[in-house]
Amino acid sequence: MKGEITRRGFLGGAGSLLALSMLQVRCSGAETPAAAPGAPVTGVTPVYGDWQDVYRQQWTWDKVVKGAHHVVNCVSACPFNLFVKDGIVLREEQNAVMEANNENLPDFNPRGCQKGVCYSQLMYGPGRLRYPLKRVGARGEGRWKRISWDEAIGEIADKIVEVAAKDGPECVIYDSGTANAGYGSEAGEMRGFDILGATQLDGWACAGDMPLGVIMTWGLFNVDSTSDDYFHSDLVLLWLGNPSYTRIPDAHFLWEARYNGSKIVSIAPDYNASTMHCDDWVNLRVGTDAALALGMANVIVSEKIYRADYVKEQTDLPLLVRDDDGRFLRESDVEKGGKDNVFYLWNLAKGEAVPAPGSEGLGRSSKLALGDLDPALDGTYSVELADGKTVSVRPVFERLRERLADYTPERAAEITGVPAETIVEFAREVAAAKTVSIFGSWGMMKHHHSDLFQRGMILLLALTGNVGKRGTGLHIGAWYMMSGVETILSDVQPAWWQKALLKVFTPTVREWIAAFRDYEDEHMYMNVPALLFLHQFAGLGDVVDKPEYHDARPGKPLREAIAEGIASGALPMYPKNGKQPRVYVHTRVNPLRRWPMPQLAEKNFFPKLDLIVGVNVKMSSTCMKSDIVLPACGYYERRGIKYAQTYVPYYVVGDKAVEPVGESKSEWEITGLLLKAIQERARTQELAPLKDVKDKPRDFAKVYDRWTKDGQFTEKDDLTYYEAATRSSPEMGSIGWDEAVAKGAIRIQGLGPFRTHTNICSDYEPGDSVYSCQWFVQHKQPWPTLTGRMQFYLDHPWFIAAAEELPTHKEMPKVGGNYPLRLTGGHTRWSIHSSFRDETNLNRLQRGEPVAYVSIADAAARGVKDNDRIVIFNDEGRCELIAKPSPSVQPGQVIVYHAWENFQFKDWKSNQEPVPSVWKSLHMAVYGQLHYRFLYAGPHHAPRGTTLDFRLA
Amino acid sequence: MASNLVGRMRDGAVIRPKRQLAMVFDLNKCLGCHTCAMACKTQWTSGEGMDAMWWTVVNTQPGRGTPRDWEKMGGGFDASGEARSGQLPTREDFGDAWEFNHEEVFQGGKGTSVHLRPRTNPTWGPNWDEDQGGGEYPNAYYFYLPRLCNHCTHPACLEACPRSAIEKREEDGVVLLNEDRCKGYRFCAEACPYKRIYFNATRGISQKCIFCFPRLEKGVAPACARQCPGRLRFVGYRDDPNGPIWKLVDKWKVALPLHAEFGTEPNVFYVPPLAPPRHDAAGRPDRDKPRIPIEYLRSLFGDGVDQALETLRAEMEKRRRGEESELLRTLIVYRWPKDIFPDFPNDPASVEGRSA
Repeated sequence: MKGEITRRGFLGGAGSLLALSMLQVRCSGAETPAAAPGAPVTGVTPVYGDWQDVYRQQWTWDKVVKGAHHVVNCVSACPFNLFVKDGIVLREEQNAVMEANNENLPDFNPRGCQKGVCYSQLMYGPGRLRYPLKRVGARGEGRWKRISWDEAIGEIADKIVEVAAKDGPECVIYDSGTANAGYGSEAGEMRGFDILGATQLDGWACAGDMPLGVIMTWGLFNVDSTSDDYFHSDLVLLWLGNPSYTRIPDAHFLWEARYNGSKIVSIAPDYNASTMHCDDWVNLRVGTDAALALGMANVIVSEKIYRADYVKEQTDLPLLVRDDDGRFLRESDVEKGGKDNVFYLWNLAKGEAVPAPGSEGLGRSSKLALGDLDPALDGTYSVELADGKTVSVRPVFERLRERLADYTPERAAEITGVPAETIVEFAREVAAAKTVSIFGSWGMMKHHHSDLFQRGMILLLALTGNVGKRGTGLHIGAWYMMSGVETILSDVQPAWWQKALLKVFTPTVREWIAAFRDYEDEHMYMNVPALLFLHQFAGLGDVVDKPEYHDARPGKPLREAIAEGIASGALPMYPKNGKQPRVYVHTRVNPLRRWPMPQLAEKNFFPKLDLIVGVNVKMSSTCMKSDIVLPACGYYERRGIKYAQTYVPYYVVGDKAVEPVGESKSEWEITGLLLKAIQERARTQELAPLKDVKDKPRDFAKVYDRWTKDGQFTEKDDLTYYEAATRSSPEMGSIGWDEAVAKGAIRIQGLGPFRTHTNICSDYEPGDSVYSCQWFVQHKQPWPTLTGRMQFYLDHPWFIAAAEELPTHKEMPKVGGNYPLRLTGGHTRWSIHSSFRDETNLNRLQRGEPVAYVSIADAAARGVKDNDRIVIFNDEGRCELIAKPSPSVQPGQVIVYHAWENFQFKDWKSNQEPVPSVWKSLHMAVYGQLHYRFLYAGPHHAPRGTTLDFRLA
Repeated sequence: MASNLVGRMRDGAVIRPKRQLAMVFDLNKCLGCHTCAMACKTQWTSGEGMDAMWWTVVNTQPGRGTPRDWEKMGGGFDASGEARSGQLPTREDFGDAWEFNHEEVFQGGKGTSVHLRPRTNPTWGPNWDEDQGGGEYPNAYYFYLPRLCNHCTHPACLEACPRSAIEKREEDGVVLLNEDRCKGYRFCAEACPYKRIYFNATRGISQKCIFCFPRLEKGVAPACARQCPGRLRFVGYRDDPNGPIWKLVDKWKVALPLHAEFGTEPNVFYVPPLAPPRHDAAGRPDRDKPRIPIEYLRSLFGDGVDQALETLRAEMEKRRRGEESELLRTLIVYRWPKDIFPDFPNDPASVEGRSA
């Protein structure tokens, strides 16, 4: 091994960075003692003024502390000033210190929203957890006993040791969903359960945020820019996104870019809070987005207004496909012993098939630049195979043209409801614009056929050369990593020679990804996709496997695809061999709110469990159904680093402003206490090392020592962590923690190391916006796909069988049964997931209860008036909401913005009950860039487009 | 007793302050997010009897607003300057501060038989008709209208108060309701045509927006403006030719008062909303017909709205051709805070927090 460059060699400890997690500060300390009775009163002599002094007095404070909302899965990092008086955070206000990227771009102030500016209310509100609670009634009954931390931790440790020893550590299920998302010490929690060998639910596979079409086409997880990059866009398409709701701190850049000359078009079924600020509105039918994209692509191809040079270099459209079997022509076809990951294009300059630059099999030196090659996009060619036979081949572009013939503007108009003339004009506009970008966000992930939407959208961008330069590309989301965080969290540290090597040798994106896969196979094999887990243990399979809930050509029946994936190991699934989950620990997340058809989990999964533990800041629907509930510190009660989305060129950190509310503790401390208790028990019981699912030893007698790295990081101290994290992060300027929290917002000095989440894939260029995919388009590095190109053709047999080998449109299956209406929704403006859903003042600015926006026509047909109670229902479930009929809603559409707490619904039947969320078997195919990986691809939550109806309650 | 006559009609003319602070709200940037409302709520209205108060609020237009149907409640002055009779909005019209049953749900031992909801059955709230709007699909339309006390040049509330408890400050025209003098007669709330005065039943006094005067004193912009993430609330002196207010209201004439016919000379101005074009019967954009009926906009912002929208469109066309536009530069706000509230740029974190 020594001196040998292994794939993991590039990686060092990078993989645990994936364990984006959050750390919490040690939360303890005494209140300042009150003055003793009878002691002389000291202080400033009062001036007794008038009523105005009451208000002046109200605007006073003892100190200002930099704060951030870091333990919440909100994509907008917003620095705050916390105004503290008498040990209480009185209120918060944006710390508006973010400077512009250059003189022609607006600055980033003042980032925040109505939730962020009232967290201090929620923090002390009626839902706040203050003490460890133990259930004394039946689960969900709401009868609790206050217990001590010792009792709580002891009881949990007893059960974990018992279950792990008897059934195996994998029968302990740990779930931090997508909330485990900061760069702070919360990472310690995930690492703790990793050390135990517990099964970890991969919540990404249940959040509905998975960009499968992007992964299929680009091999990238997510991409984005700084929000000021819209100023470089001539044309911005808001496609399935509603930034006025979901990007409150960033939306101004869009509306300001419009004033600066950009044209902004909203593509959405409903007239929404973002549509109102657009220049045009394309009101397509729900679920027909792919058809719109393909109709436009038809115009661009048939009118030959595509960028041929760009297409030939950056996409797989010139690659040759065999006419006989529909597979790419590979080196293994034409040479004995040839590679199956070298592909061909037809070089018109020489009239021969040549290996296509970028092919995975060509190795790291292959670049996309064409040089003397002149790839054909058209024509049929003959190639001699290794066995002497000849086969006719055609470039993908020929096949694409055939596919697009199904999407003439007239045909696309029939499907989408958008007039053909509009499609033609719009297509020409996209082709003519110098720079086009698409704001898709995570709204474009939540349909059954979202992958097809994304493939169509990227096709438009690719045909018109709109990826990889300023003002172009797809806006979803990406993160700046912090190298210091991963250095601390990883158990595998790079050797000196690896560090030295990385200084002179820059791995390609493909090499980084390969290194990650190795690391995960070795160290992170306990992740199980949450939907798959529910399929196995909650009875979700009985619903989502129904053939009538799938396309007529699914490529592979879902149940078979799952069985095959589990058998091959492509889909990790634990516990297995008849073992059952017995302990379930959910931290900060609210699975019964998020999971599809949560009634199934309550009926089938929860009864299997001896113990359900919830760790949360406030009482959630899932905590209510748990056995022990532990109170966690809120944002202002501990240090934290907000995960760094690329919208702003800043890292955002928060200091501890006040002592923890009640007896709450940080997750960091809770984890440490739990591991310590487990270690003590293992030693007392002289427990032999246990075996995990891969037969690797898990020695419970050493779990705490391992977690603290032999005392280096104890549960009582997180400052060591923060100090090390910032000091060893050059992209944050390698400053100390004190300096970081004195600012609250720290300007980036780099984009951080490449990781699966940091798919910016561009150089850091201070003085202008950050944008994505520069390395591929400008530096000609191959894309991390099998072909090394933006790949529109997927020659996997399931894709071919499903007729999805190329971008296509498919009608939404009738998931939910044969009902006339389609459910849509989106992130609400009023909450960050369910975190703020029960805040009193926010509710007073709504209707106080869950609402559904319905169309005037559908309401009238059902005799429903404004504020009537309605039941929405289908074959799988039902729930009750308040109706808000609005002419903004497309007839046939029902909009329920997400993340109401179950306990806000009658009988606690939430809007997820009628939502089976059926995913496609194709998402479990194993093909180059497409495969299950933690926080990457896999089974995918798809709530939108569910069929249903409503009636008066 | 108010020590000056500013804001009162004397000899057929209104006595004006030395300077007038004003706000401009650009409706083409408003997100409807209510960060302004929440910033104000946590700053000033969490005290006793203030639960239901939202001194600033955002209404979806068309809609019934806050309080419900306020535009039909009268008040203000008629064309001859005579006071129009006004209606007193009730607490319910404003949308009461519904209490919720958190404790019952979380600790009541009643399981799923109870769920979290207002203890009453509300029929109105401060943002009740959010995002509903008007028109017919696909020609639906709505926009957001942030509202607060207009700090009018001729405040109907001031004239109506028998206690002379309402004062318009000479130095900046801010209208303040003296809570020491107020006896809670609520003539002011009847008289205010914008219905932006609340009644504190616990203390027996009326209360309203104070233009964040303690913040102004420290050079800090009002909370609603400084905390607005949409960057659409301009604050400044009306007569400052270098400031954004004068440029938008007087020079470019794109910012208009709301319901000027109410006769109080409000000092909050609105850049009226653009919207994507209507769709014709075939679903094609009809660029000659505005989505938001111009009559509706005229009813809110007066006849100047046609020209204001035309100016906006023309400048946006210019900018698309690559030409410079002072108007659009102003609306964009390249440098916050100096471009949006130049006279109140201070960061509150830099202010001494302890009371004197």
